[in-house]
Amino acid sequence: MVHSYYFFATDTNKLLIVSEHGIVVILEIMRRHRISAEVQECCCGLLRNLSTKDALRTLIAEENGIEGIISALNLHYSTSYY
Amino acid sequence: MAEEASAALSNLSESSDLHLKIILANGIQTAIKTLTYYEETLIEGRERSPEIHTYTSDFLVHLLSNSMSMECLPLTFPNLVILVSEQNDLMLGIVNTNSVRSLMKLQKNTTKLSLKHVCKLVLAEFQDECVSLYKQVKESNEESSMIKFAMSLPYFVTKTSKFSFYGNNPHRKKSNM
Repeated sequence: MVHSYYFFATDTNKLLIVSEHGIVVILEIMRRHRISAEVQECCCGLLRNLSTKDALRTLIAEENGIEGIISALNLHYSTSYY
Repeated sequence: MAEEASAALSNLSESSDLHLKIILANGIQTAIKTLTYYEETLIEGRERSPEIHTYTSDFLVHLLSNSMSMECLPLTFPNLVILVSEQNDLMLGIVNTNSVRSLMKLQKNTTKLSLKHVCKLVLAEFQDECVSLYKQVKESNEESSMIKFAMSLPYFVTKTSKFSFYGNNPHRKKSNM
């Protein structure tokens, strides 16, 4: 499910995702699945793609995305699938 | 996981107005914890994703360009050494045996970096004299003092390790005694 966001990261899609409250949904998924490194990775990947756009960074920060990413990294910093 | 999170943080840290939020969320500590972990795996020969190092270093460079972040570091990481070259390459090591090895390894691979490059640094739980020197440099705010301080770094590192270090170190003889 999360992957469907992940692979279509055009600028248009990014704005569409945000307009449909995508950031809130991503962060909610992160909160509900804190212990799953795989889910956290997908969600961080989504936020990574969205945060390439300057305007979206502030929105991510306003929804406490920074805390979410740092919390995920704190918990799963030793997990690498690459 | 660590790659995606580090990359996301690196992107977010490009906006300086988000730096305070990142710092308050313990972003620097988390980045250094991650970087240290992956440097250790590198030393142990279990080389992991090099992207983590790149993204985390970029993230720290962005934050360290902000003086507010520099002020936060001494309190949280008293034994952290950070060198930032003019090209914004970042070298980082915790002052212990493993990380000295790590720091040397990075140095060997980084031809651009020399001790003349400005060093941003915070030291050291074991060296009162170094802290004192750092304070002097900070107060004088002169480039020559910064270079002098950068030059003295290998002395503080070699003093607690068996490793020789690079560069023209005026304290080298003293440190080998």
